[in-house]
Amino acid sequence: MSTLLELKNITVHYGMAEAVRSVSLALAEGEIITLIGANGAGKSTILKTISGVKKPTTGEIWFRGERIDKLSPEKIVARGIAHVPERRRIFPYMSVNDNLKAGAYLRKDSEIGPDLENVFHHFSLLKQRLGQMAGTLSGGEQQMLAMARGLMAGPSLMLLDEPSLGLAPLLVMEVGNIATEINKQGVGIILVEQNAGMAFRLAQKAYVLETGSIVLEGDTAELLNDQRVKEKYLGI
Amino acid sequence: MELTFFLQTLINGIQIGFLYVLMALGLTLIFGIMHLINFAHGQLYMLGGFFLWWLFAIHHVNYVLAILLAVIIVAAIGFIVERFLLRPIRDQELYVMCMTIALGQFFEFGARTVWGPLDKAIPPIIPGIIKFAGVAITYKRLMAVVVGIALVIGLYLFIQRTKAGLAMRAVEQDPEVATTYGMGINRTYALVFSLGALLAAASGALMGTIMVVNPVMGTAPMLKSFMIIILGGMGSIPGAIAGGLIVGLMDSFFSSLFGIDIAYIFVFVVAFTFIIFRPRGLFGRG
Amino acid sequence: MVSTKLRSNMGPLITIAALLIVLLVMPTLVSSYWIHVLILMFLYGILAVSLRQMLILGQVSFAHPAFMAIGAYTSTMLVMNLGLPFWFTIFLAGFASGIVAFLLGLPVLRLTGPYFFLATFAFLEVVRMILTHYYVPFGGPMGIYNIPPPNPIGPINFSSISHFYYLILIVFVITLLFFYSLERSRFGQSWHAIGQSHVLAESLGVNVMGYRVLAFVIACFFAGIAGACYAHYMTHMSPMEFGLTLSVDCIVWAVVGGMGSVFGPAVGAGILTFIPQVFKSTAEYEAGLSAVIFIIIILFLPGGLISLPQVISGRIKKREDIVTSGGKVG
Repeated sequence: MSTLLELKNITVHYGMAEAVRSVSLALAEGEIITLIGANGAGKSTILKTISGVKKPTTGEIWFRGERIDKLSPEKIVARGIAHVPERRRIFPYMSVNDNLKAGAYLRKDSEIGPDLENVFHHFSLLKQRLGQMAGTLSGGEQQMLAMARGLMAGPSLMLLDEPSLGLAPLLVMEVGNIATEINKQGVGIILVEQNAGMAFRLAQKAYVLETGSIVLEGDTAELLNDQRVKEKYLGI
Repeated sequence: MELTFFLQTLINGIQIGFLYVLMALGLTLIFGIMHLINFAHGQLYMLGGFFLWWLFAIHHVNYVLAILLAVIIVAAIGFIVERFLLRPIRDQELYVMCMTIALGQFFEFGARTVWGPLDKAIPPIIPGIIKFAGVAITYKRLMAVVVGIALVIGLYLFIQRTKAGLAMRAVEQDPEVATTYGMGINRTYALVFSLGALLAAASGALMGTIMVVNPVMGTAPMLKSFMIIILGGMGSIPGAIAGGLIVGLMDSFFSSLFGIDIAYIFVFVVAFTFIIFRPRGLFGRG
Repeated sequence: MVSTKLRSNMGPLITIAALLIVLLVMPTLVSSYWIHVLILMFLYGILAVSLRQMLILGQVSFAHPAFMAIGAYTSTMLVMNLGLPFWFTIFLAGFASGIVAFLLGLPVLRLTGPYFFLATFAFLEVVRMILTHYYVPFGGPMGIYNIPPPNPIGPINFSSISHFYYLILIVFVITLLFFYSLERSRFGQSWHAIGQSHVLAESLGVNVMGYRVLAFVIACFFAGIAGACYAHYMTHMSPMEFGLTLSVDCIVWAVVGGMGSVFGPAVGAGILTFIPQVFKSTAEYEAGLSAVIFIIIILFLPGGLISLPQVISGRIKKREDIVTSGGKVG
């Protein structure tokens, strides 16, 4: 399998404060990897750096053989990376339909038909709520919408930032299932989570972050047996 | 109050109101999406009037074409201003405010120097008055209202139905997320500011058609527009429409009943009250 | 982020001392016309420096001329109607402005950015309208004439313009000293912190609202004092003089002069009042020229004129180095 995304020694600062230190990771085509860690460990920052919202202080980001760390977010999404942000952040005063159209903003109108169908297939409840103001949806529905919006960008890589946050366990399962289905269609996923159980269920590979650095990495199957991981993140 | 007087004042109020609406729409879009108060708005309005006069009255360009060109020229000026004078200092609100103040002064100076300080009248295109139910309205004013309504509808359709409009709404609601989906801030801001300038220019051109143009005609309507968007809700389009009409009517009725001074101060008192007790205005969001 | 360190102050201190000496002997050097210009420079300097106190908090007040007017009219009416001496009414003028500022500030200072500015602008217009509309106490649109000069102290009977000159120079210097020490006090740091980010300051336990009210009352107090001096010097005033134009001018003076230092706005007020007098012949072009200069300063010299020496010596290279919170509003 070829490498879809690679981070090489990425360091990110917020002003003088270092949020991420020398992080390197790689994702193969069609893979799901997860970044887990406590609050403030730097996971969301890494996603923001990949999508271009934040620029790294040092390091390189390579996507499909092209270096992207100096590109603007608009150029990065055009290359096929969709960011589903922390806390959903759907456009509250727009309809569900408009939120989906926003996701597909850069794409030609002729292309999005099949993707829309695909989205409705994954997120059937959205189909009934197309005209509804997105801000009035429930937390779980907003999460669905945020992911659907991401899908509408036609990505080959999706950045999922803490999708389980604030959701009931049943919904967390559903979100996880949808993520798996999306991945089966060929979309790589980087899943950032505090909920390690869900993350390990979905991902093939995991990186554990603490205060901005990677302290542990490996296949999720192996890490499940790691003592430190079990105590700290799985609560076992 | 007799019926005729009431109707006449009402009609005048609505007509003035629509011109206020156009100006307030531009101001509220710029504030709502770019988070800046455009102190040059009044001068963009004035330039709209002047370019119309210059094209139509001096160079005898067809009226419709002249209005279109006038607003396009001012929109272009807005584009250049945003790109080269506002973008470099975008995140510094105080300096942006000062920049638009300086630009307003510069435009006023420019108009006064190029065209002189005196009033210029625009020859009427459709002379005459239409009368009904004892009320009179000149064709000029009627036309202004019609064009005003058309522009408002056009703006609504643009914002709700086009991709550019979608980007505007997205950038307004969550600029960071909007950029991650390709709706860039630079392009959106350029569009918004030009659009705001266009609306101000349209208002000025229409007002110039009805009355006169002069270099200082923009200040008072702009100050009123500030009060209008407070009343309606800063950043709110329905707010600008409602506010503009309400203030237009207030202007008309209070001027007739109590005099211009009281009318003027009343708008400010109302706006001040709103700012203290309901800063988001009638339709503003949070 | 208060910028001044003692070491870097020696140069400016010497300049200021020299300037002071020059100002003291001015009346013997120049004609009364230029003395008049200098007096205006001082009065406007007081306005600009006191306004800066609000600007560094990120609150752009357009109401400053209104408070000047409150001070002017208060002092005038107390002197002319009640016969009180100027030396008393000047302080009452300041207090009147301060009290009104307090009352206005309580509801209005919780607003930020454009909302605050619009509220103060509305207040400005309301005050102006009240002064214009009511002939009975305020003299209406024509204002008040024959305002008496301050009561004599010994040989100083204000029959000569240089008496006014020294009085207003003293008030000006006191104002500068006051704000200078305010800047270096523990209040100064808090104000700047609030200006940078009031949200952050609040989370750190700073009483943001309290500081805002304090700054507003102080700033308007001095505006009132300036107003009283203005009225008794000019002997005539009308509401028109306290309107939007003056509001904008105060802000321009502060920004052009430079907000990184207490002296910046004074420099701005001084230079921008002085220069049009020099170039009287090109008066028509003055508006355009000053607009262009303003634009150039905003783009290329955001620290204002007072930062010029530092820019030239290369100490400020980027916009980010500017030690002023004037960049952020609300």
